[in-house]
Amino acid sequence: MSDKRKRVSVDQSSCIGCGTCIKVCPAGVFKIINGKSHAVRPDACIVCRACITHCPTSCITISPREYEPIKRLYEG
Amino acid sequence: MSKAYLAKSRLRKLEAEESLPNKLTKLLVEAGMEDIIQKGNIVAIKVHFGDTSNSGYRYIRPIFVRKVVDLVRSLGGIPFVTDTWGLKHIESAVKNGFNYATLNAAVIPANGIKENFYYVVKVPDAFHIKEVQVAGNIYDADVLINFAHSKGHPSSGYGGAIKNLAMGCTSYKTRGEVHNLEKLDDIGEKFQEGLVDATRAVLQNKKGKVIHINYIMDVQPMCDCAPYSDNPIVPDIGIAVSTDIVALEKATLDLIDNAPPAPYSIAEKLGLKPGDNKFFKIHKKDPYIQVRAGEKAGLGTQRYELIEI
Repeated sequence: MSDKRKRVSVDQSSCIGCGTCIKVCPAGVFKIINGKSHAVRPDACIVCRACITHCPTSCITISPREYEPIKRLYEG
Repeated sequence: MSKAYLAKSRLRKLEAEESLPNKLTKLLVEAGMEDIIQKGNIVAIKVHFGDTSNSGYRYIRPIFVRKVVDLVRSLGGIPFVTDTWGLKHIESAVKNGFNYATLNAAVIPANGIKENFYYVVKVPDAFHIKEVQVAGNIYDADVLINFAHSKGHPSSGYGGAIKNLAMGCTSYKTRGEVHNLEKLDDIGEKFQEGLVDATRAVLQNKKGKVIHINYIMDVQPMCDCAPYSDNPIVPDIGIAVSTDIVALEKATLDLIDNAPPAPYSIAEKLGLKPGDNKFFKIHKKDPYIQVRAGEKAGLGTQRYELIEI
C-alpha cells in the first residue's frame, strides 16, 4: 500500500528508558539505545496506542497517519 | 424492516422544545429507551471524548450527552460516561467538557486506567477477529447506550455507530488487530469486516439492552481522534436513533449522501453532489462495506423505515 503509517516519536528529554513501551508494543516499534527508547520502526505502528496509554512519563506521541487520498485533497 | 428515528436539527418553530437537545430526549423515548432501562440498571454511555491534544473540536457537544444522562436518571438508571485510551483520555475529556459537573454522571475509562481491564469474547464464524477483548466496564454494564458521532474516517471511509463500539469498546490489542487488517487491501474491506467482528463481540451480552445513536452533526471528513477539525462536508442533519445498528448506519449514510455538499468544505472543493457516495469519493474507501458486513453477520438489516419526529 502507498499510504504511510503513523509516525511515532519519543521525547528524549522525558524518556527514562524503562522499556514499558517495548513490553506493550505488539509491533516492535521501539528499541532502547543508550538508555532511552527510540521509535526505530515507526512504519510498523498499528495505532493501538498502547505505548501512549502505558508510558509512565507520557513522552510518546503518534502523529496522524498520512493517507494518500485525503492528503492529496488537502495538499493538491 | 427496522425502524430508525430521526430528529432534524432544523427548527420548525422558535420554541425550546423544538431545539435538538430537547428533541433528543423525545427521540430516545420514541425509540424505546423506557423498555431497555430498568430501575437500578448501570448504564454505560459510550461517546468519543475527542483527541488527546485537545485540538479537534467537532465532537459531540456535551449538552447532548447531558440530555441522555438526564433521561437515564429519570428512568431509574445509574449512568456513567465512558471511552477508551485509559486515564489519559479522561484528562482530555475534562478539558473538552465531559466531566461530572457538566454531565451529572461519572466519567470513567471503559477498560481501566491503562486499558488492562477487559473480557475475552469469542466471535463465532468471524470474518477475521475470532477473539475480541471487550472493555470491562462496557461488558459489565447492564445497558449500553452507543452514542456515536457520524463523520469521515480514512480507514473505512466513515465512522459511526459500528466503529464507536468496535474501536471504542475494546482493548488496544483488539484495536491493533483490526487496524492491522488495513494492510490487506486498499479499499478498507477487511478493516470494516474487522469492525463488524469487534462490534459483534461488544454486543454479545447486550441483547435487548442497547440503543444506538448517530449524531449527524459536524460531519467532518476525518475522525474525532485527529488533532484537527475541518468544516463539515454536509450541512447539519440531526440525530438518528435505532435499536438496529445496521439500519441506523444505512439510514445515516443515505442521509449524508443525499445531502448537498456544505459550502467551504472539502466536499465542495471536490464538486460532490447530492446522491454521491461522499465518503468513498473523499477517502477511496466504500463505507457501505461495514453495513453489508454487519447485515451478513446478523447484526441487523439494511432495510429501514425512517420515522421523523
